Amino acid sequence: MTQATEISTENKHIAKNGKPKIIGFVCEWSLGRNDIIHEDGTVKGYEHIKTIKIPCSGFVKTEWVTVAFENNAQGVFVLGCPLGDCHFNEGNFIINERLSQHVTRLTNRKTIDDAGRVAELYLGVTANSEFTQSLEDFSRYIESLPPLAAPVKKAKGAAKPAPKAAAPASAAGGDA
Amino acid sequence: MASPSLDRYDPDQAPTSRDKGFDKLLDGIHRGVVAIDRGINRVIPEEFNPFYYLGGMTNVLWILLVPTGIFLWFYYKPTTADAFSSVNYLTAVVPFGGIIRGLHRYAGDGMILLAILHMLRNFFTDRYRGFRDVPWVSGVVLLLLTGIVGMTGYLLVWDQRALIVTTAIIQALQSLDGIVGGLGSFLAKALLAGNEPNNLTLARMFFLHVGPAVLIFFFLWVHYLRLHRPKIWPPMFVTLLTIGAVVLAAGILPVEKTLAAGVSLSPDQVPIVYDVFYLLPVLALPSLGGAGVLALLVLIFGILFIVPWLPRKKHRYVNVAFVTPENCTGCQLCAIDCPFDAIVMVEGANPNPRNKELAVVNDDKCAECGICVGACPFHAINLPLANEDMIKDKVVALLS
Repeated sequence: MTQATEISTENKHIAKNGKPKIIGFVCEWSLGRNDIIHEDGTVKGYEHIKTIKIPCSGFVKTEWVTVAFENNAQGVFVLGCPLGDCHFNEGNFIINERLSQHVTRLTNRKTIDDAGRVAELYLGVTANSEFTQSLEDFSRYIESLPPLAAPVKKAKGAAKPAPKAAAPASAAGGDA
Repeated sequence: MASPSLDRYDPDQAPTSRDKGFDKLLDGIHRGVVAIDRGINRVIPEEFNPFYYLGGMTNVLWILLVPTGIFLWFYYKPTTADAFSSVNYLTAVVPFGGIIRGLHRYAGDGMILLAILHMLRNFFTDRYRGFRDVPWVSGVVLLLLTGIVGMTGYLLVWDQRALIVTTAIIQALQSLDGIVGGLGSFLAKALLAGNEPNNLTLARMFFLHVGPAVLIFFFLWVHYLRLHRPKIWPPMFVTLLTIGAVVLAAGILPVEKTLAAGVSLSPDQVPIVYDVFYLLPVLALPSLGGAGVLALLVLIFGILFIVPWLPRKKHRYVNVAFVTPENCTGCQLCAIDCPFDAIVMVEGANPNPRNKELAVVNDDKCAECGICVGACPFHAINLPLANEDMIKDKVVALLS
């Protein structure tokens, strides 16, 4: 029974190319005008990474990050202009503050298991290679993490057995 | 929640779409400017990149100019007979006089250089039109004032160069006679307090050096008026870099020695040093003529004044944030986070009597960035073209 639920959750959080789903909020002043992102928001060469174009990184509501994780996203990133060079003066500093607070909240609530699931990138218009490089790194990091438990009540016990099972076993071994 | 009929955030409708013609050229330059930043960011942490603080660095130099100028004023005698000797006295005899004179001189040079870089950078990164028209126009006024202050600063020393510059100004002014009869001669006479440079001339020049400098403070206020937290002062690293560069310049290159205005130019003397930043119009005078230089200056500043409206920003007021009064709790979070001071809290306007204040958006100041949307936990403020429900639906749709 547990196996069946595990398979169903795995299907949900994995994209068609077999990699965990990642969603990104992309400031249109940083890389938004770039040809590196398809019309539908998919990053070229990374079919599992979908992006949403926004007017400024400060526009991102932290609520949307939660919504993304509740809908089986395995990682979320926000892309803004380089710190100090926000087109709207301070949007990237503001989202930096808001996200650092929100990520702590998400990890405390156990919505996410690892603070690294939320990434902030600050890149200028021409930083194509840096952008793909950081996406590659982020994607690899997310792949190395165990799949995130879906926040639905039933799935809570089912999706997280692998890491949980390992931890008590080692603890028990230490006690003995 | 009341959402407007525009149901889709269309990137082509976004105010930043620059695909053709002049805009495409600007876009290319924008990329070039950002590529320079990227090179600097590899060496210096991006929070301290001096290119992000050109305006603040200009301000640092301006603040440096005020106390050094007051120091020089203690020793300066604004008469044609004593001006040159008093400047020489303060340079050679007064302790640190030479260094402080050098600081005043190189800070002035640096100020106009950084102001022009600040202007070019804001032009090339598309930060001069739309909601930034007031900062741009006040910035052009500041550039003009800085130019006047700098040029009259050269005259105060009253050496050979000052005499050449004065002659050039008079020549340029007198060329106005051809347009309006007698106007140029009148202005020249008013400037010199007579037909020839005399003891009253330098008093007038001194006023023209200090008066516009006071006006700079006023226009700086206008310059910052639309920003909530203007970057007036750069980070400590950049501040120290700026001041250090000027002190280094003043220490290594003492202000050049010149000859008094009374000494006539001789072919075997050391050539006079001109600072191109300020005296470019004077240097262009022989080739262009007085009227030509004046026309060129009027043309340049005229274009600069109207440039925010030349390639009109197409989508002004399309995406201005709107408040849903029923949801607003008057918590002020959006007003605090707005970088452009566009949200005011109006007391007693909230439809819910329990809440004291209501957020109201000032359309003229709104930059359509949406930082307030991210600030509001109560779904009370939104951008019409990028409603928060639309984004949330898009997140869900992209993940399904």
